[in-house]
Amino acid sequence: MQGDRICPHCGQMIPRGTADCPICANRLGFNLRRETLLLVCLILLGILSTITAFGVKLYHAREKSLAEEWYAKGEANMRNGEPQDALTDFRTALYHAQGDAHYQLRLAQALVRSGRLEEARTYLLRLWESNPADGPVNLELARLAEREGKIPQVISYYHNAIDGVWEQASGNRPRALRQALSEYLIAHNQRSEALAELTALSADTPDDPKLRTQMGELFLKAQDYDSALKQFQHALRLKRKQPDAWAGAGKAAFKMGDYRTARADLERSLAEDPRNKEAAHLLEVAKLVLEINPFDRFVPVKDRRHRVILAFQDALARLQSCAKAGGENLQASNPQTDLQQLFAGAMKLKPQVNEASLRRNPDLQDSAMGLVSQIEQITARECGPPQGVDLALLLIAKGGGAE
Amino acid sequence: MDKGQMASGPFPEQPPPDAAPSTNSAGFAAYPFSTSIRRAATRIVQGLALREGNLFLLLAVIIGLASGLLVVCFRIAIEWTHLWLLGSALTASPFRLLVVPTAVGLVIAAGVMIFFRSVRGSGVNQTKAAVYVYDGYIPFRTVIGKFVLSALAIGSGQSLGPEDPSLQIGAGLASVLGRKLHLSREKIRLIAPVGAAAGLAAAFNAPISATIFVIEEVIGQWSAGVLGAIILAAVASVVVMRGFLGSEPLFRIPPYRLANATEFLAYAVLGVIAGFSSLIFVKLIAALRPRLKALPPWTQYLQPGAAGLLVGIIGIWFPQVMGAGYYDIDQAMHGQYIWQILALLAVFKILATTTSFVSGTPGGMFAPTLFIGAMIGGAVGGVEHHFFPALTGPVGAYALVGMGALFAGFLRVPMTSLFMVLEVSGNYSIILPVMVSNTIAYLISRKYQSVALFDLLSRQDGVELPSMEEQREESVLHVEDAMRPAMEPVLLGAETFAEALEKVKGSSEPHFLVNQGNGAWSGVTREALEHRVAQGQGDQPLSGLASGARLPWLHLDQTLDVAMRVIGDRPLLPVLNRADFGKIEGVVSLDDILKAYRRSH
Repeated sequence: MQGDRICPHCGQMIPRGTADCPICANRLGFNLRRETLLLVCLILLGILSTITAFGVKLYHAREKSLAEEWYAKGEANMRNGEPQDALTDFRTALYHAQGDAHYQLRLAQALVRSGRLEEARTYLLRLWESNPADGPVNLELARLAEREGKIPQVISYYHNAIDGVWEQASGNRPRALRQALSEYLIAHNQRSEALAELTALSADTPDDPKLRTQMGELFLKAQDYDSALKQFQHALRLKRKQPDAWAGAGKAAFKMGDYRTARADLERSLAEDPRNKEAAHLLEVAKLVLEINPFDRFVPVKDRRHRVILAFQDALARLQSCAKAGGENLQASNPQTDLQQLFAGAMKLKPQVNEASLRRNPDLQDSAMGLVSQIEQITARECGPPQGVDLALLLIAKGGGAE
Repeated sequence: MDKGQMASGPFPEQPPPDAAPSTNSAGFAAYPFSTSIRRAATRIVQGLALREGNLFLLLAVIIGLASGLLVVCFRIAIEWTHLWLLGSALTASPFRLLVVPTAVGLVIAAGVMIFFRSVRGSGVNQTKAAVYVYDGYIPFRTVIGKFVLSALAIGSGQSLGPEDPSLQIGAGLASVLGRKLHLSREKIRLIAPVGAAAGLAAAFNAPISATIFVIEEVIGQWSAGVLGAIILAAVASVVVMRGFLGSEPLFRIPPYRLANATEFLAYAVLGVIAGFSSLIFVKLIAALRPRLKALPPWTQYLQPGAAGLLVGIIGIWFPQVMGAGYYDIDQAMHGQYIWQILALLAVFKILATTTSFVSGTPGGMFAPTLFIGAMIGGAVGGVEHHFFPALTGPVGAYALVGMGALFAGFLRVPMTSLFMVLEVSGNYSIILPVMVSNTIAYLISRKYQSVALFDLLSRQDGVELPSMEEQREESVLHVEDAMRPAMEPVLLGAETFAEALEKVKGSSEPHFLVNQGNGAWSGVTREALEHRVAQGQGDQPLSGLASGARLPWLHLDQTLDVAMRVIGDRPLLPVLNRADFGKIEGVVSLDDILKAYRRSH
């Protein structure tokens, strides 16, 4: 205490035992004991803390209100379809509430809508890094990956979004997301992945006739007709009066080659909703198939031979018209093309395709129908999709006589 | 010695005469009741009284807490000022950008010239001046001036940062407290750097970097006495700052992993560019500052305003250069700007910061340095990604490394720059690129700019403060630089005086060393030997020599400063092998030491 001291006014050293500063002549203040001074310091610290806390609280409140103000402007611009203006607003909101995940997400969405995908990805990835389980962020990343056709990333982010954390709980969300993923995969010919998602989705689908019908349609798109049919049947068990479900069931049956069931279901569908053109067309084809199919097990033997003869004639006519349309000469002595070879085979078989020969030799029916099948398939390839009877014959050929 | 120490020392105070003990009926001495209470109270107070060392540490914590609070207030003041003057939008209108910094610059100039003349210049240098020139004295007026004027300057968009003022606010506060508590002169000198560390730690949210900076640039040495206080203050201030403003690091760093060793080449290139950029920055300041100071005094009322106008003009096109720029550093780190924009921002920030700083506007250079480094790093990263897509490091990593490299090159604090990057990123995996870039930038800066920035500024102000960099570079003389081989015979303790005299007959030296065995050494003069032999004691062993008190010894690697203290009045000291104290490496005398010092100049 008796050591060197410094004048608090001018900073000069004060000699020992002197009360006044020799330089500035200021009298030293009341000499408090250190311990008392420390106590005073602690009290002042407490006061300063309170003032600081008040100031910080005030500042944070102001920042928060500014952020909300700018965010609201951004939302308004987004609603008005002006994402470019919304960008500035969201950026300003973020400036005032740095690190706010929701604002960052909205900014990323505005960037996506403005076509600034790279910047959007940066924001989204930053959010993802801080919280990989965030549902909305994963969904946005999935949509971004969708735009870029990165299928593995789409699947990964959608799965994260489905299993992720969402601010507002919604039982429907995982279904909707999985459905969106399934539709994306179907649209991009990822059939096996799509079926895996649809299987999981069907397990999650409640017993709601509309939802089951929707499931059936998804399975139809994914070409899993058996599962589709089951979904439509499930829907119809829940509610009989559903033209869409009947039509879907009919279509599924049609695709599986069960034309009799298809006819029944499609007729039921059209009875309830006659405006369904697709159902009407399918019904027409199904009826035709049932009418001319020689393999139908309900057809008597005599009629079957008759149907074979008619099918052979129709196929031959289709072959000739197809060749004519392509300017091809079917009478060539040395058959080269598919059509010429088919024609040569047909000419060879034609003398035997009659009632008497078919009755004598039943195996000829298979030979004749085999040739019909080849003709319909090759002419469909060479001359485009067939119509009417030829379409029915082609379906019978593809079905291998399922009926 | 303070009162507390006196009171608890070996000579306790005597009771006052009026409190003489009375004798009770049993004959025992007894004091009156009131006196007993007073004595008990005195004992309690004496027990509570603080010793100087403890007080210093306690004061360091108080300074840390207070500095933390003031820095929080300072930052809030900057933000409020910004909101008030430039509005809440990211980019203010061109009218505001031109008018606000100009008008506020004029106000600041008036404040500096009329009320707070001492707030001009670098807070680091002013703290150093307090330590080395003014016995730790920093006027409280400087603290107020720095707080108010720097908040106005940075808040109005001048291209300066809050760290340097924070450092000085902490140092000033510490100085005031030290004086009020009547610390000794030595402690008052040391308390200012303690406050500086606290202020910087709170401003940077980086206690390690702040501690190292103060050691590296202000104190210049690792002293156990002050290190503890600095650390305590830095930690206390950061705790307070985090308590009020959150514990998030200054920058949110993107994840980083060095995928390929060839990327070191890219970081080396960044180091080279950062080194030359820091050189340009320093040279600009070195050239412009004295020229502006040399202008007529009345122009100093206009210079901050003119600087504000220039910064505002730049801000119309590049608003990012205004203020400290932390938000934009964060944006650059997360790849929000293309490399061309980053490069332009670096160029314009150098111009804006140079203008603001040389005009005498109060504010710091730390944040602008980080900004420029981040922009250069980001730009280099962007270019390298463009031309070498195989490089996997994110642009953010380059920005971070660039920050450290420019910091190392510009401020010439290599250790601080290294730890700062680690501390603000919280990512140790970035350490290798940072080491490469920082070292290159630092070496380039040293090669082409002999005087470091802080030393340059103090010399321009006419104050010759000790240069920590030069001190680090000074060659230290060791015993081996002064020692000569032990050519004279070394005597053994078992030898008799007659044998010893015979042994030294051919030597012209008056002094000889005696190896007493077991690592003990003593000395004897020729005169003493001759005297003993003449008295007929020639057959007695040297070990019985009265003057055979043990000699201290030295080792080759000890400094000459240590040798000077050890040698005292002794004519000769042995230099011993550290592994074998019986083996003599050489001898050293006071004359040898002085000759070595003379040779070194």
